[in-house]
Amino acid sequence: MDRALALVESDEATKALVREAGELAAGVDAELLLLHVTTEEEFEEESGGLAGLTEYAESYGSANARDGAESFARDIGQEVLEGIDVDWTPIGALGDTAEEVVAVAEEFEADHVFIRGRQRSPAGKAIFGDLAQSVILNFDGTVTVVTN
Amino acid sequence: MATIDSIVVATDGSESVSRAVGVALDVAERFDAAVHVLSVVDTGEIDSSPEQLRSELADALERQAHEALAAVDDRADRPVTTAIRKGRPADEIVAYAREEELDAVAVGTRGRHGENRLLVGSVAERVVRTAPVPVLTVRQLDAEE
Repeated sequence: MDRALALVESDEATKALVREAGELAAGVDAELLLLHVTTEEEFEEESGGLAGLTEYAESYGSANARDGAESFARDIGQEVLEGIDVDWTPIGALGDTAEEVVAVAEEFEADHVFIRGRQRSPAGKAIFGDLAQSVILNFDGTVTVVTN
Repeated sequence: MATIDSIVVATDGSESVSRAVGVALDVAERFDAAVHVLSVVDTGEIDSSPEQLRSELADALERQAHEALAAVDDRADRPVTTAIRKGRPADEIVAYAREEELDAVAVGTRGRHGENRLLVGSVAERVVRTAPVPVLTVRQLDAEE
């Protein structure tokens, strides 16, 4: 592991994964990329559907969405990685989460991806997330799935 | 502080786990972690075969398990602890990690091409879903990649 990527999600439980990834990366002097992805649906919702109105609004809107995602990743990193001696970088992306994880990992030449596995569906049934599955199938490096 | 002091890699000796073995050994090297290598004799496979073939199949699977462990032992630069379990592979892998109080599990997954391109592999999937510790999954690359 030289450069790892951890997916930062929008719920409280994401912090445990970020901490785990941070501590493991620190242990081997690896860099850590913290990626938060704003999905197209979230983006549409946020922008109230106005983003697509003109080309200008579209590009302005999506740049904003990426910046927003990056600052979310930065906030989580500052909170969770405080006191952990790891070199980390926040990254924001807009699009499909699984696709962005693989694309960003490849772009930044990460060799290891950390993602959270979901253990239970709301109905209490054990499920294996499409996200974890898709990343495992499409990323060439190691994918560590942490379920908690 | 999270660290990996011990890791178990599961092997059935097949091509799809060879890269996972490499990653597990590399992680062990970097974290100076103890390496366990586990091979599971799939009793479901034995039970579902014709009765007159079962003992022969059981012997063959056990031999295969020993060979798979020896292959990893040969590859490793550090001492490894080897174990053979009998049962349902994913359940035995998770139970082993739990009983031995290991910090991580490494499993191989199938490639994305070929007939199983949409499947992670049922053993890997079940291990990911049920393991109490982080699971390192490593996809076997196709020869042309």
